[in-house]
Amino acid sequence: MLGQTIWWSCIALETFLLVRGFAGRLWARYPVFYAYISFVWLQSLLRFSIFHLRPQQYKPVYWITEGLGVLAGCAVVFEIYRVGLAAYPGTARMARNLLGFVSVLALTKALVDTWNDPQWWLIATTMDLERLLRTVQSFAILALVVLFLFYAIPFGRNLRGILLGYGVFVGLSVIQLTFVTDSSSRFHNFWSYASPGSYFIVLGVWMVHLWSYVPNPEPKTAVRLEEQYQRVAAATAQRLREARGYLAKAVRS
Amino acid sequence: MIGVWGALAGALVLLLVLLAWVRAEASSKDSRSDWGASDQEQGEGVEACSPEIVSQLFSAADSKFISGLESPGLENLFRRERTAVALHWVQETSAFISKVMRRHLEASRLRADLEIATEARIFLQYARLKLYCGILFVLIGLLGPQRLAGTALYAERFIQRIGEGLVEFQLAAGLREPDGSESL
Repeated sequence: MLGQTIWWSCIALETFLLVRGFAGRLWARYPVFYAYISFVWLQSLLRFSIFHLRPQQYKPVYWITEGLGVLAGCAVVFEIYRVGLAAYPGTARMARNLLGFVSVLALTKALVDTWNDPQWWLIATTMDLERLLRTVQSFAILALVVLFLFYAIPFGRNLRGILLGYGVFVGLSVIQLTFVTDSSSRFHNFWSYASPGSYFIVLGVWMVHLWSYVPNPEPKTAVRLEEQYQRVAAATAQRLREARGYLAKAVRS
Repeated sequence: MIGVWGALAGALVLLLVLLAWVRAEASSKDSRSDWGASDQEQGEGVEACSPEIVSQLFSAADSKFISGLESPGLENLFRRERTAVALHWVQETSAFISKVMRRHLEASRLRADLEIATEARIFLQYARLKLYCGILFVLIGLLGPQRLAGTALYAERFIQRIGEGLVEFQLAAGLREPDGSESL
């Protein structure tokens, strides 16, 4: 009963989120995110119908839509990068390199593991594959958030909500997929409520942050943009050297 | 593939970093204006405190004079006060280093010609300085500023060794120093 209530509440919140997106013209600003929510909304309705009308087909439908959802989620991460760093070409360049590095690392690991154990694709379950994809996604989000923190990129309310909600969702999904491999485990029963419950909270976060359109803050351009990067870097290195010399001189005196 | 514990650790780190990011976003909302004009207008240098005063802080001359008075109470008070001032000085210097880095990040995040290798080199330079400040802070807290002159050499050698390791890393990673710049 509780599970059904959460399920219906999530569908209702998704509907409300989409309606607010249309009303506030947020669709045009974050098209990928709203396409993702539309997909999840349709997925929820489809799963709900299959669960009640053709329960024997629920499992394959669940895993196919889940896989598509993971791929659609990658596009959401890309939109966060695209919109969040549109005004910061320097940080965007750094992010591209970092995301490239994460992708190469994941690919290399996959190739090495396949080389060592060519049968792992056959042994791995759909849940294992989803956990793998979600983990790579969580590392990509982690790399982006670290960059946002390091370069103090200011975020508008809308984009902050999308990133926060999606980041929490991916993090919790990895935890859930790690613990719920065994359906007879104690965790399985707990997560059957905790997982949709946490998704309901994520939808609530999106609802609050995406109630209306709030533009991303413009970067302060007090810095001299005509200056070349190498000159800026040289000036920083020089000031850091001065600080180093000052510290050394003081303690040696 | 990625182990169960690796995935779990990654997810937990992600949730923690998201929390830190939300807190940083909330706290920087009001102070965001400090990132630009106000810092540049001040134009302060690293030597906010005059070199004479700083060298006095670490000098043993005053300590010897107070010891000569043979008043344990006065000696304790002197040590406490000197240590507090020296710690404050290290914190101020560390804050200055952070400010230099913050300004650099503010400038570099807007530049499309940003170079990853140069950014990495500056970050390593910054990290070493912050580490140096951290070691100084601990040494001053433990030994007091007067006895630091000798022990600071150990700190310097330690940083130097880390530096040598980093130079090897930079060479291996192709992050060579530009001409004329000093390797810290």
